[in-house]
Amino acid sequence: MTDPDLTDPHPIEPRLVADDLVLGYEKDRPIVDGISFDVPTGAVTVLVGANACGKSTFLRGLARLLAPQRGSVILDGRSIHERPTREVATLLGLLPQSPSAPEGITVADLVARGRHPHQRWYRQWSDRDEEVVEHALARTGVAELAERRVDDLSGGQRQRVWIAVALAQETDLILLDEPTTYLDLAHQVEVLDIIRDLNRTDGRTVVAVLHDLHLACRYADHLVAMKAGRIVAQGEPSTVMTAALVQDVFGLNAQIITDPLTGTPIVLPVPSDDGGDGSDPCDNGSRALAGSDRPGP
Amino acid sequence: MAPPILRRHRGATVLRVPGVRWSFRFQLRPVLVTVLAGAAAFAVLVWSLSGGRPDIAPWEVVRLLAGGGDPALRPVLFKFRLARGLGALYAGAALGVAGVLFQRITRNPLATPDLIGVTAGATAATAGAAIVGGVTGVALQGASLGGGLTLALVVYVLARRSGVLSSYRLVLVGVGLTYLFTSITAYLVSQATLNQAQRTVTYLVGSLGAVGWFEADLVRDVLLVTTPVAMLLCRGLRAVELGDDAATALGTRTEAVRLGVLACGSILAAAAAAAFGPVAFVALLAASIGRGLAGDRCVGLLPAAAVGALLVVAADLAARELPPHELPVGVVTAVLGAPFLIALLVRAGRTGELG
Repeated sequence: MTDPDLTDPHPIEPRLVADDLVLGYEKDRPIVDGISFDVPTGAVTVLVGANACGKSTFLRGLARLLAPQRGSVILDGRSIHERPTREVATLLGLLPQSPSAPEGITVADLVARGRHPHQRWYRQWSDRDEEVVEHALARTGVAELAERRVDDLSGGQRQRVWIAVALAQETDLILLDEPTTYLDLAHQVEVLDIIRDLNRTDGRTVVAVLHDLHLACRYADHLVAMKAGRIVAQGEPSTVMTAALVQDVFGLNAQIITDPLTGTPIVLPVPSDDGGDGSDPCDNGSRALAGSDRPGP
Repeated sequence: MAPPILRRHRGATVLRVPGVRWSFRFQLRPVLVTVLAGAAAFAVLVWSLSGGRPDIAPWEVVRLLAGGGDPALRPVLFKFRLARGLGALYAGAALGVAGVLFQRITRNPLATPDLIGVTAGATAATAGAAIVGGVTGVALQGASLGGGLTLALVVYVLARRSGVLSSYRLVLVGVGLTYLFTSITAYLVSQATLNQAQRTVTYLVGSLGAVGWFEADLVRDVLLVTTPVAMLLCRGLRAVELGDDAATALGTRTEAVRLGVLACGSILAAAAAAAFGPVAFVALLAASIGRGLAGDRCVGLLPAAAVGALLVVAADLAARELPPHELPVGVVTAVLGAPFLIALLVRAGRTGELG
């Protein structure tokens, strides 16, 4: 956005915009420190950054889960906090980092709860509800598990069910907070393929926080690197992911090579003989904070 | 107008009313449990109403309730026995609903109103009003209701941290305050005259002996107002159960839902305590048994209400009939409830679900 050389491959009007957004859990300790960002419509945007750099907080802010300390989030031209929350829920969906399934709930019942913003107490199951839920179950490959208990599923299956919940919400914009955490590589790829398919087939706008830089580069149309609550670089992964950026953002001495299968960048950490200096440029005392915003179960 | 359509979808039952385009998705099992437990509660109620002096045959009780029967027996039934019987029924239903609301919103089977302070607040207020203030009659129920609701509010405020209610803190704060107010109540009783103390202690163990139409109607009215509100809140509750972030993303005002659910539960529990004293463990028993019978898939307000009604009506009958002298009903429910609580703790300790 700041770099005129970066031609936007999706020259569509942005629908979700952060304007000078400051977010935090305490006064004078911003986690997100004045970000202005247009979410590219119809693209897959991936946020990366070191632990506690504010990427999840930024995503939660975009999803109106946090009230801004300053600035605003704008959805279709209007401040997201001034719009009725249920109306927003029909436009913007979120898969949180650690959603909790009620004990004993079945897959079908859980996915059906994704229809919440479209339902009323007297209209609990329209034809459209059923159609969308069935589609979400099929799309994420969990239709055959529909009557199983979510407690009994594997981690990969469970994550696909949660994506189905977000799909059942039937929104054009979907935000995902670390959708691949705790999954093995095969299941990470499986989940990311589903996510990409939502974009490629339906044209949905996707924003995801990912930890794995290799997969982030593979699946992102637009890569956003964050450090200490600010965006330090954004654009196509091949342009953004440089050795200098990895050094700056992660404090990691790395070499960038090209993925022979996809042509996207791969970050190779350079082995250190002396064990490295162990410094973490992003960890300026905010780790404790990040820990305290998620109370234990 | 087309007739309603009933069909299955993925293990749930869907009811459609085409004319007005209303549709409902629910489980059949909880409906069945509600009907069966409700019928059982009614049967035990009739049995309970038939006993005493004079004995009225059960079928005669049914005839009298339906408006027929021997006119000479009407005053016996309607003036005295029925108020107590229906009072037991309503109290059980109210505690069952309150128990489910608390358990679901906190995701903790132990977080029932009698264990997290609502009941202790109501009893302490009653003891205080009766012993210190010399209050009697309706004002005493008012004090009790006020005490229960005040303590619920205090627990709620103390259990919140940075705008978020933690279920863990709710239980800890609730248990702490329960101890505090139980001690206050015990102190008040120790300072009372013998006469006051005896009356208060009878209330404190949960007694239906003094229940009249006023108490029964109070709980009934609270039930009639609160239960529909709670059922409407269940939609939001189902979203909040997915975690606050997911619920907000689904367009739910999570804190409003939580406050509403806790308020409904507290009002029901406080009303029951105001009318009959702390009938121990009924909320916990009714909600847990209701869930066991109706399954995990529903919120289960009505099954718990029916099971609660059955429990208290049966406990009242047992309290009157079993021992040589009449027992307060709270003693019977405590004898049933305490082992159940221990079993629950042992099981929860194994699965670690109380964390």
